[in-house]
Amino acid sequence: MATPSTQATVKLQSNDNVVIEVERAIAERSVLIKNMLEDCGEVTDAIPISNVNESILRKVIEWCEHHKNDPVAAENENDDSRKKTTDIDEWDQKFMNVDQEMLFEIILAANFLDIKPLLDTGCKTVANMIKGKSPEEIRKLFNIQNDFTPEEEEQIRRENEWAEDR
Amino acid sequence: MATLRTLPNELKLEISSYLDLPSLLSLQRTCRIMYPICASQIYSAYGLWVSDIDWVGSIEYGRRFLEHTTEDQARRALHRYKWDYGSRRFIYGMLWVMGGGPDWFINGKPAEYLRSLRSHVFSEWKTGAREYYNPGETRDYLDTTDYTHQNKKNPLRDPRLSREEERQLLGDFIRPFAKLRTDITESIFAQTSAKRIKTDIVNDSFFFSGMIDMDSGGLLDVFYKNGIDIGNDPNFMWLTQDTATDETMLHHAARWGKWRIAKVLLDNGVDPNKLDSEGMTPLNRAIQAVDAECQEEHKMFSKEQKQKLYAGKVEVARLLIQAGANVNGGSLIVNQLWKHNEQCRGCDGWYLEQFITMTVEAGLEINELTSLEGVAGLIHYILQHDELSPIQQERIIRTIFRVNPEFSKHINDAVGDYDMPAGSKVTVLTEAVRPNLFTTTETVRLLVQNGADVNARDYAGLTPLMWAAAEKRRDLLEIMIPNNEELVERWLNDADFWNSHAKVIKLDRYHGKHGLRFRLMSPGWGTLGSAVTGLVA
Repeated sequence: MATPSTQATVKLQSNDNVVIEVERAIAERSVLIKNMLEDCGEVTDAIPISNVNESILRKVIEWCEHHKNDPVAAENENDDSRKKTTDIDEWDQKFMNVDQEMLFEIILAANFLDIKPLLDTGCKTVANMIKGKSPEEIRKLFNIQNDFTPEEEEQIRRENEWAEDR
Repeated sequence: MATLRTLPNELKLEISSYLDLPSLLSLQRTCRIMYPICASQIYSAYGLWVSDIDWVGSIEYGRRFLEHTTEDQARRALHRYKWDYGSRRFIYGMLWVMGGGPDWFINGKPAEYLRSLRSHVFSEWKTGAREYYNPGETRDYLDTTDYTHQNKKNPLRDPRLSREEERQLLGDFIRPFAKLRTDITESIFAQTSAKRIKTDIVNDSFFFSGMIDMDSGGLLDVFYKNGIDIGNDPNFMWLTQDTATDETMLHHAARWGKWRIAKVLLDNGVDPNKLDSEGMTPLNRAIQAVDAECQEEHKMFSKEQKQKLYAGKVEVARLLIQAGANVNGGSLIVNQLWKHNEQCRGCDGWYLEQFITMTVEAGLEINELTSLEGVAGLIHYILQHDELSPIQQERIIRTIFRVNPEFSKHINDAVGDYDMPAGSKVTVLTEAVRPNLFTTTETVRLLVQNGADVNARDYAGLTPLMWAAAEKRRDLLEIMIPNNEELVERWLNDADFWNSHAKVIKLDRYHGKHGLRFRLMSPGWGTLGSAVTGLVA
């Protein structure tokens, strides 16, 4: 058995050297931190979160605080999980109502910290932004440069004719 | 600065996994980085549709795919998901579309049957399109074999339907599929040349091997009609599971109980006696594979799957023997049957009965040279096999003597007793009358009629008569001492005496599949042996 969590809080240090103290239970929403604490036992020093800056880290902690009582999702993913719903609950929708850069930073941070539900929420948000849009609209939305030659474009169009709604 | 483009690919893939098809198609066209990520998701999504319960939608997309796709693209789609289960369903669905089309499906009979069989069909579809699509394997859905004495139920039975109605329903349901498979192949041949097909097959194994794997044999027929001797052509060796073992397609069909495939191959003159690198004939494979499956079954196979598999194997074995397979060639079949006893617990007696009966009828040599100690050994094995019911035992033994009356010469050969120290020998009659509650009276009669010695001593010094008396088995005594009521009475009067002696041999009670059984346990019979010496019937 791991030592009982005498430690009530942990310190997290963002890559711009700001130390934030959070409840251990909240920090442990991150599988990365959870494993780290389990491996090292008592950690009094601040844990450096090298890939995440202060504002994103605070945002992630905010999410973790809100979701600290959520049951931990079962790990086993079944094979047909590709049929995913894109429903997002209201609080999360508001939480994700941020500018694009922040949104992608949150996704990256969730990925780095291994917070699966937050990562899912982020990906769903992006997916919802993409849904129902034409390629041109998507390019505009995400500031993507069209790097296809006209011939390539034509080829892709032909390739996927079968699936187009007509 | 983080953007959609700069996200790692795994995250892009994650995002795209939430998209529907139209959105995937749009995203795919935005830039080069997105293209491959979306492409894999598109095929994957398509595979889901096909396998989804939304049949009509699947068919519609399948039709569009086929109408618009280029040959090259179809090939790529097939290749991309070569090993992926979902995409196999994609391919099956596509083939389906090629053969029938939505009108056939929606307005034709299958829709009607689908509605009534929807849950069956769907669960089948889920567990594996291969089985579902293999009309050959539906044979045992319609199997007339009486399993009632084994308390078996046809797993796919709808309890609301009568047997007859069910058969009608399933038969009608399956028939169009059987026809369809051939249609598909024929249309493929019609579109291209036989030579081209051959090259395709050799270069692109999955597509056709997948089809052949689930095929009823109709597909192979088309190959033969088009002049490809698929059964003997070395180019098609890969069609078997493992090219390293030199298995022919016939070995493969035997191993997996694909009896229709075996039939087409045999009808087209494929040699039923070819050996693979382990020196096994296809017949060996049909029988031996049961072993392998028995060991795996607990992990892999449901009871229904097992039934299908065995029924198929029995049928293949029958076809092979009909086609002139040598039951004494390859690996010794008697040994295989024996091994089956040692290795297999919990597989079905019916299949074993079939294997023994048909190989014996086909002239299986049973002699002392085999490790089964000849005919006596085989009968001994039959009597002791947990999975064979008493009736099955009787039937098999009857067959053995019917096929070759010469076998009765060996009926008094004493053979080693199961689970006992070496040298503990008994005759088959002793085995039959010993109180194992497991042998029919008729079996005993059969043995006696074939010359079994009622006074043959076992290693404990007891004779069949003594055993029967100890159990107060008047019926057995009357068979062993015919037309001598007085002597029978005398034996019965001494029943308690024989019982007390027989009890020295400790019997271990255990529950076999067909009821309570006993097994001789203690080696403490040595002294008893000398004690009863001198007592003669």
